[in-house]
Amino acid sequence: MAESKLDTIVKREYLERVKSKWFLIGTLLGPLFMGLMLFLPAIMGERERRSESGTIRVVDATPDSVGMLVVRSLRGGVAGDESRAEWRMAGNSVDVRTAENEAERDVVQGSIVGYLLLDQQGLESGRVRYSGRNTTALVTMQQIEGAVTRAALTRQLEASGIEPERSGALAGMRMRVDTERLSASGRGGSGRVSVLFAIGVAVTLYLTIFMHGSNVMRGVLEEKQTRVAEVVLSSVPSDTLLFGKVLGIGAVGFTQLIVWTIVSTGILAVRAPLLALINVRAQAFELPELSIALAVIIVLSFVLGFLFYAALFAGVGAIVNTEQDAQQAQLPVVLLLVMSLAMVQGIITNPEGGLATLMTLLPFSSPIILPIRLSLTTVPQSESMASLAILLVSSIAATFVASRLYRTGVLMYGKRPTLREMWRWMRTK
Amino acid sequence: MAVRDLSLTVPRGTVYGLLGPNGAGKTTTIRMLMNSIAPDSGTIAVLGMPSSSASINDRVGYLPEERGLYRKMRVRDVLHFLGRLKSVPKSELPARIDKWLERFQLRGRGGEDWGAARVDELSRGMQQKVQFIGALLHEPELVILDEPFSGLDPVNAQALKDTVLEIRQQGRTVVLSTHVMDNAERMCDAVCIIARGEKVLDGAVSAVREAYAARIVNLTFESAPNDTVKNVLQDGSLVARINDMNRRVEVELTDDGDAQALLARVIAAGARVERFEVVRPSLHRIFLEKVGAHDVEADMSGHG
Repeated sequence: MAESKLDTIVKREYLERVKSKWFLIGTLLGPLFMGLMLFLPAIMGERERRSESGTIRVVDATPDSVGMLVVRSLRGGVAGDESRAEWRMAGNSVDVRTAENEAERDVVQGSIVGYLLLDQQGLESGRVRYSGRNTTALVTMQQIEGAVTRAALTRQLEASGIEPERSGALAGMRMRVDTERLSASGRGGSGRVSVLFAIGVAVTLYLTIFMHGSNVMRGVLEEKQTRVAEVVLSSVPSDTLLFGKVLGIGAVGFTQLIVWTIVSTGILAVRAPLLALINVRAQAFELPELSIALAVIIVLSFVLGFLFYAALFAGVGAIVNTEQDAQQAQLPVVLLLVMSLAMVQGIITNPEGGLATLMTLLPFSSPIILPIRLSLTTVPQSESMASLAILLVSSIAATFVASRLYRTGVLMYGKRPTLREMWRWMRTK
Repeated sequence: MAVRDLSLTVPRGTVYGLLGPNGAGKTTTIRMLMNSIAPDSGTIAVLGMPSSSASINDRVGYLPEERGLYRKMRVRDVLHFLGRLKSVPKSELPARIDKWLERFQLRGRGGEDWGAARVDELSRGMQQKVQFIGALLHEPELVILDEPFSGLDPVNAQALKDTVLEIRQQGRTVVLSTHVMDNAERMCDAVCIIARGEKVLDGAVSAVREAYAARIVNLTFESAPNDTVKNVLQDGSLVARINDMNRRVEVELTDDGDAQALLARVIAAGARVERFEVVRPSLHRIFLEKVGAHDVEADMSGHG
């Protein structure tokens, strides 16, 4: 009988929320956001590549026309895109000054985006100067640097007696480093993707725990403000009401997570073909191999983390009377959550450090930090287990405290209780 | 301390009134009955069980003083929820809900159906009716109504009274708190008056009134009474207090004083009596007398 009443409460909490338009919006916005994250960078990148129409002028004061090579390299070959770079000869220092003034004027007027000044002295010292409007375009700057380096190298090779064609080929040789993540469970995924995945998981866990945890608080507060709690409590014990609420809202969060996962996986699957359709080259985006163990731990982290924070939020809801009160009183709880998220960057750069281990064990941060570390590196199994066990025990303790506060607080209207009063609520049987 | 040394017995199958000014401890008493709060000492038995036992939940219906429902829910869904919490079988709920909605004019002839509306679209009075329905859906053996009349218009107050009396006719028990004595006097079989957390008096309404009956006598003379008559009226063995309004006199008798003896003596003293009435005091009057007008006036202007 008690089970069926709990069931009734869980159902109401779940259905009333899932039926609301906010759930629909939230559930749709998640994948939309995810989609934008996956598509936008590729599309923007492509657009940037195409819209780089500004011409770069190479003012060449070198005796052996190194600038010519630079221009050719920037254009992407002998018959490359001529609008990309142009060559200006500057024979002597007077010429250089005139050419520079002219280039400066052209930059300001907008006919070129910038100019590169090449002279013998600069090449020998290894420093040349580029002035222009687009100095923050890092990719372009890297291209210029590469082009100058190759050109200078070509000329030096030629000077040491290697035939020009061979010099060009030697200097143009490029090496690329592919990264691969290596862990106890095997090889898989590149490091960069792991980080993206880890951040995605962290943010998703943070958002769902935060959103639905504070929904528990709002639910408790609503029942308190509308006084409906008194009616419900005439039918069920306060523990049943509290657990029903937490379970129902947790199920809402879980539903949302599942929808997000399914939709995101779907988007990921069609991403490359879709991008190809609109003629954008897509960089391969592979998920790190998601082992069953990791999946289970992510789910457990959500469930336990939600329970932990839901209990804290419920306790806050039970001791406040108005939304404004709630905003203030929830601050410590919110800070704990935000702090966990703020640590993510530090954890990513050093997933095996002491801070990482500490944050994995502390119950307020472990539901976010443990999945991150697991997707970045290998966490000793004993540590994972300890982390989950501590979280479980803390959730139970928090739930116990919350149910004590709730039992008394939910029927208390008027002023907020003092710490001493709350302590008394907790001790009364 | 809200309630002190309160002891009362509610007979089954009666309407029992808990009377008292605001702050007297009515709601505290009811909350203890509902096991929302625990008494510091003493025991409470509801339907023969300890009030803390979960098994009585489904046999009791409760309308708290502070009313409220889930604002965003549809009325029918709220009632379904409340009914399920009282273990009413799912299959029976729709018919029961419709019956009650019709009874309280929330669903009717013009095709209007507030059952489909959201709670916050209803007026306060309507919400109160919905909550009242919620307390009765499971046909409880014991119905506890905390200030059920506050906020109801006369039409709905009448519907509520009819329902309460019907519940009583079915042999079920109603405990209601109110500070409107008129309602209590007309509906209750027995009452308990409390003030400042303590019981002032309790018992069957008729017995309470009987206890105070024949204490007050109203006399109207044809002309202002002469001195001999006045002497009789001031006889301390017969009259405890007199309220002299010239031709009309209100007399409160002493404990041994007899109204008929008083009448005989004033006539013997030569008075011509136009009207003689032994007043059976209203609950309102008893209430004022026992609780003190001072306490009540402040309260009566409050609400209700």
